[in-house]
Amino acid sequence: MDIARPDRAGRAPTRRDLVGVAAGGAVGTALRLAAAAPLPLALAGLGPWRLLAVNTTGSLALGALASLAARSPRLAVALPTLATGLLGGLTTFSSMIVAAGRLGHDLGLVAPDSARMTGPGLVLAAAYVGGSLVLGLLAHAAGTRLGRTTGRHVGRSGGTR
Amino acid sequence: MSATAVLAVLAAGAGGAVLRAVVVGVLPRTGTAVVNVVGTAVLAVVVALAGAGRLGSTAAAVWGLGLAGSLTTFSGWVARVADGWRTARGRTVVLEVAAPVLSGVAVTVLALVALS
Repeated sequence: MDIARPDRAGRAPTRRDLVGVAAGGAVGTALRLAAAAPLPLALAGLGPWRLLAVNTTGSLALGALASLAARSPRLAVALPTLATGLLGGLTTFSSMIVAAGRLGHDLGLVAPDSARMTGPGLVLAAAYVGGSLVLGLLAHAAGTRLGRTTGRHVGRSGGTR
Repeated sequence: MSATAVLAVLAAGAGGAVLRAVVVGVLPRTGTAVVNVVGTAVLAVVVALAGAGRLGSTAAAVWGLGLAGSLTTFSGWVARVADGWRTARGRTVVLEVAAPVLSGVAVTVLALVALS
């Protein structure tokens, strides 16, 4: 079931997993709300740049967590809560797509009353989604490396088992 | 925004995460893409309805920021793309990147055109 552990894909989530996912999802959503402050809650978004920062940070954390959990059975038990729930709830794909579509309006390149996506708006949207993905992949790779290094140090001192 | 509204957003966030876990458990290969497209459609409908004044601010926050925000996942999407990249499954990487983005954009445009 877990996004960070492809080897566990296909395993049906247990009730205990789902309770952890719900708790993590609520905390992840709360952190996303906190990142949006002081913007009005009703806007249902963080703005494109805060969203980019939140999504990149979440990807880094997921990379680190997944590689640490590969060395630590105790941490692996907490993956549904921390990875699927907290980091899955903190980061968001839907807001990225909507933010990309509104970027032209936000930067003043497209008339606020225009419903049509024009040339500059399209280029900006594609660049925002592409840039988000590249940054996310780089952050995930950096997190994976960080998790491996940390896991090796902790494992050597006997702290993970 | 009242404390009750914030709690409702957090509860919707919890529900979105649980729904995502269940869908990914049932559809391990395509579940992340499915929830990302469905959640994007939900957010697009919320944005369109709120923009047209047909949805209140609290309801928009609960459905958009809470449910759709937590149902979809950026970090999970990146992890799937990175996994395809690592195992050199080129076609998988293209599908993992293109399918949810293009479908997400399509449902967003459809919702905005149909409801605004």
